Amino acid sequence: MSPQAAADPGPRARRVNAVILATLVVAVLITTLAWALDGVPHDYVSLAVLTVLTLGTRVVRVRVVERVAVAASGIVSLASCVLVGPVGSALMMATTILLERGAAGWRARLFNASMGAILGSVGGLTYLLAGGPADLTTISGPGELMVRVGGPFLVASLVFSLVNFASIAMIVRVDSGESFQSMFLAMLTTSGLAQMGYGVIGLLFVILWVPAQVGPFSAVLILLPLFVAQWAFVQYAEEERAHERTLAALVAAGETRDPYAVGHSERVARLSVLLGEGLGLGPAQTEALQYAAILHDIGWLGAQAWAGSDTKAPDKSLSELIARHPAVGVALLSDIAFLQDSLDSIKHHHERWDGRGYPDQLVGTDIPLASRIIAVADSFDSLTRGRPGRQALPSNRALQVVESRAGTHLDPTVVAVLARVLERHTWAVAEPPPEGAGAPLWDHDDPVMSDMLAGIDRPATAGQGS
Amino acid sequence: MNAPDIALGVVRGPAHGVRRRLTARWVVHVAVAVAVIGTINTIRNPGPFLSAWLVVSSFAVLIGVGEYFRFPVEDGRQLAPMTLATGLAFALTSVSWQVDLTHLAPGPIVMVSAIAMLCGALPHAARGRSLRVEEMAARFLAIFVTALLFRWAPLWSGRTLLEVDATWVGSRWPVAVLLAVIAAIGLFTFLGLSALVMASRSAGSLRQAFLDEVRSGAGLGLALSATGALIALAERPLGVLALPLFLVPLVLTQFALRQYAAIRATYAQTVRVLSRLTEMGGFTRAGHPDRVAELCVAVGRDLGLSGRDIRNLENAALLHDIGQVALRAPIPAGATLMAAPADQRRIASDSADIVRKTGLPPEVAIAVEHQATPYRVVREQRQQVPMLSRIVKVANAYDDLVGGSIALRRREAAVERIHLGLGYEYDPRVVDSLVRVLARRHTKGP
Repeated sequence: MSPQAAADPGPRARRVNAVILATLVVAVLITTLAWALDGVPHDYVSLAVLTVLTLGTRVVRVRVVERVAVAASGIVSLASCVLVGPVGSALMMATTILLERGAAGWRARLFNASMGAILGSVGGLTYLLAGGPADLTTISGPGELMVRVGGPFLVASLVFSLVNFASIAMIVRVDSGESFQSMFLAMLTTSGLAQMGYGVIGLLFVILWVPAQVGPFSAVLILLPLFVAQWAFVQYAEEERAHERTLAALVAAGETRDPYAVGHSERVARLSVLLGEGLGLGPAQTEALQYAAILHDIGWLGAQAWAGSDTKAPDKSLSELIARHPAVGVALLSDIAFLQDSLDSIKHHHERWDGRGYPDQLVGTDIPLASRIIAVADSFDSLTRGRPGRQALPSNRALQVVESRAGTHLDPTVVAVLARVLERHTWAVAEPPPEGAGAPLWDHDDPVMSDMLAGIDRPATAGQGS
Repeated sequence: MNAPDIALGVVRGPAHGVRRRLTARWVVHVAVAVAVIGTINTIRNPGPFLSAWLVVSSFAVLIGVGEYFRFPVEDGRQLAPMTLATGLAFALTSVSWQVDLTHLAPGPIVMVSAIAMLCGALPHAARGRSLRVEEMAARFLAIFVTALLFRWAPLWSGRTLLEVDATWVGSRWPVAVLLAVIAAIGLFTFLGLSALVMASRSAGSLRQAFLDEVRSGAGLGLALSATGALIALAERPLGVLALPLFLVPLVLTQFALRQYAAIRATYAQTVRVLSRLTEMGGFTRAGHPDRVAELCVAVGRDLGLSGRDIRNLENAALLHDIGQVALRAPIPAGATLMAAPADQRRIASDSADIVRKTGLPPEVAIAVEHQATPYRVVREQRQQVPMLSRIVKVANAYDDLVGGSIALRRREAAVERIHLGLGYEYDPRVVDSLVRVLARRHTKGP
C-alpha cells in the first residue's frame, strides 16, 4: 500500500528531496486539518490493535508471500479510516511505516510515512465529508448500513486509491522522469480493480468490527479466507509456470536428435506469438496459437526416429512420413483437453496459400489463421538456421525469401506482419551446433521442401528465392 | 520355486477394498437417515421455519448454487466450497436482522440443506453425470454435525451454544471464537468423512487418506469455517445481505481453486502425452510408460505413500525413459532391463537431466536418476536410494519382462525373474507389494 520511493542520491537528488519535504509539510497540514475537524482518536484500543495488525502484515510481507500481505495491509488501512477516524488512521499508517524493519533508506521511509499520513487523513476525511457517521453504533438495519456507511466508505476508498496512485506516479516522475500520466493510468488499469476489491472487503471488516460487535477478532475471520484465496491464486500461477516449463523442456528433449533443430519449436512459438500480436489476436487465441506453435512438430519428432536412424531402414517413403507428421501430432495430442483449440492449427501448419500443401490441400483463408502464422514462422526459422551444407541466412535475407513466397506458399498478410515485427525486434540467427554429425541433411520445414512436396519443380534454392 | 503361488494365490496385504466400499456406502445411508429424521421433525414441529422464509430460502438458494457449481479436483474428487460455507453459516445462525432463528431446531436446517443440495446436484444427474452421493453425504453430514453441536447439544452448563449466543451481552468476540471453533469441528467431520470415501475408492490406507485430506484441505477448510462463522455473525446487523457480501472472498477462492485444479489436470495430461514421445519414436514398446506408471501408483498406494509422493511417483514413472528420445539408435524393444548396466545408468541420468529442466518437483528428477541403482547399494554402501526409485525400478522390470502381455505364463515368469534379484537388485518390500497388487488385480479380473 505504501508507495515505494526510489530515492537514490543522484543528479535528481535535490528535486527528490524537495518533493519529500513538500510531502511531509502536506502530511502535517492535512493531519492538523483532520484534527481540527474531527478531533483526536478516542478508541486507543482499536488504534493499538490496528497498528499491531498492520505491522504484522508488513513483517509477513518480508517473510512470506508478498501479494497476500499487500492486500491485507491495504484492507486494514482502508478500514482504519473509519474505525479510528482520520487522525488515528494517519498516525497508524505513519507509525507502522516508520517502525517497519529492513525498509529502504530514511528518506524513502520519511516519504512513505508522510504519504501514509496523507492517505489516512484524506481517506478518513472523505468518509466523513461523504456523510459517513463517525460513530457506527448509531446505525441500525441493513439498508441504513449499506447506504450511510457503505456508500461513503466506497467513495473514501476510491479517493484513497487515486491519491495513492498519484503519489507513486509523482515520485517516479520526479525520480526517473517517466510520464506521470502513463504511470498513473498503468496503475489504474493494473491494480485499480484490486483496490476496489480491498474497499469492499474493508467495508465488511468495518461492519464486523463495530455493528456486529466482534471487534479486533474480525481481523482473523476476514483475513483468513483472503489469505486462502490469495494462496490459491499463487499456487495456480506457480503451477501454470511449471506446466509451461515442462511442456517446453519435453519438446526440447525431442529435438535433441537433430542438433540443428534444437530450439526450433521454442523459436517458432516465440515468433508466432509476435505475429499473432501483430495481427491483433486476443489473449485466448494467442494462447492457443502459442501452444500450437510449440507443439507443431511433435509428430515429426516421432517420425524422425525412422527417418534419421542409420540402423533401421525407413519402411515408409520419406515424403509419406513428412506428409503424415501433422496428423501423427494431432493424434498424439488429442487427449489433452486444453489443446482442443490448437489441434486444427497443428494439423494444417504445412498447408500452402495456393492450396498445394498437405495434408488437406486447403486454399487461402480456408487454412486456419494460426496455421498460416505458424507456416510463416516455421519457414522463417528454417531459413535462419543452418543445415549441413547450407549456411544460416541472416534475418534480412530470410525475410526476402519469405516475402518472395507471399501469395504462393505463404499468406501475404502474415508475411507483411513479419516484416513489421522484424523492424521492431531483432531476430538472432540460430547458433550452429558444435558438432552437427549425424544430423539429417534436409529439413522438412525448408521452403524448398514445401515446393518439392507441392510438385513445383523450380531451380531456386532457399538462398535465392524465386 | 513357488513364485506362481506368491504371484496369484496368497493375498498377504490387507484386503481392505471391499470393506471400505461398505463404509463409504454407510456414509450415504447415515446421511439419508438423518435427512429423513430431520424432515419428520420439521413436519412435527416447524418452529419459526415458515415465518423466517426469506432467511431460510436465501440459505437454500446459495447451498443449491454451491452444489451446482461444484468442481472436480485431482483424484477425481469434487469440491463445493460455497455449499459447505453457506451450510455451516445456516447451522450457526441465531438472529438475522430482526428475524429470530433461535427456535429453529436442527431438523429444518437438515431438511432444507438436503433438499437444496439435491436440487443443485440434479442438473448434473440430468446431464448424465454421476450424482456423487458419497461426497454430497459428507458435506451434508458436516452441516448436520455443526447444527447438532450448536443448536441441540447442551454443551454450556446445560444450555445450548445457540442460547448462549442469543443471550450474550457486550462485545461478541468470544461468540465469534465459539462459532469459528464449532464450524472448524464441522469441517473436520467433513475431512474425515471424505477421507473415508477417498480411501474406499483407491484401496489405500485410511490413515494416509486422512492425512492427505488434512494436508490438502486444511487451508480451504479454515477459510470455509471462518466464512461460515463470519456470515452467522454479520447477519445480526446485515440480515440476509450478509450472505452475498461475505461470500465474495470465497467466490474468489473458488475461482482460483478451479483454475488451479484445471491446470493440475492439464499438467498431468501433458506429461502423460509427452511421455509417449519415446514410443512414437520406436524406442519403447507401446504403452510402456503408461503401464509402468499405473503399476507404480498401485504399489505406492499399497505401501501407503502420501498423495504428493504418489503424484511424483507417477510422473517419474511416466518419464523414466524420456532420455531415450536423444538416443541415435533405439535399444531392442526399448527394454532398459536388457541393456547393459552402464547403458541403463546413462539413460537414467539422461532422463533425469531432461526432467530437471521441466517444472516438475525436484523429487521427480531424483527418482528418475536412481531408477537403475540396484538395491544392494542400500545395504552394502549405505547409500540412500529414494523409495520412489525403488518402486520405478521394480515396476519397470516387471513391465519389460511381461511386455504388456496378459498371459498368465508371462506374468509368472516375470515375477519369478524379479524374485531372483530380490534383495540384490530389488527392494524386497517393493517386490512384496508388487505381488500383492498383482494378486488383487488378477483376482478382480482384467
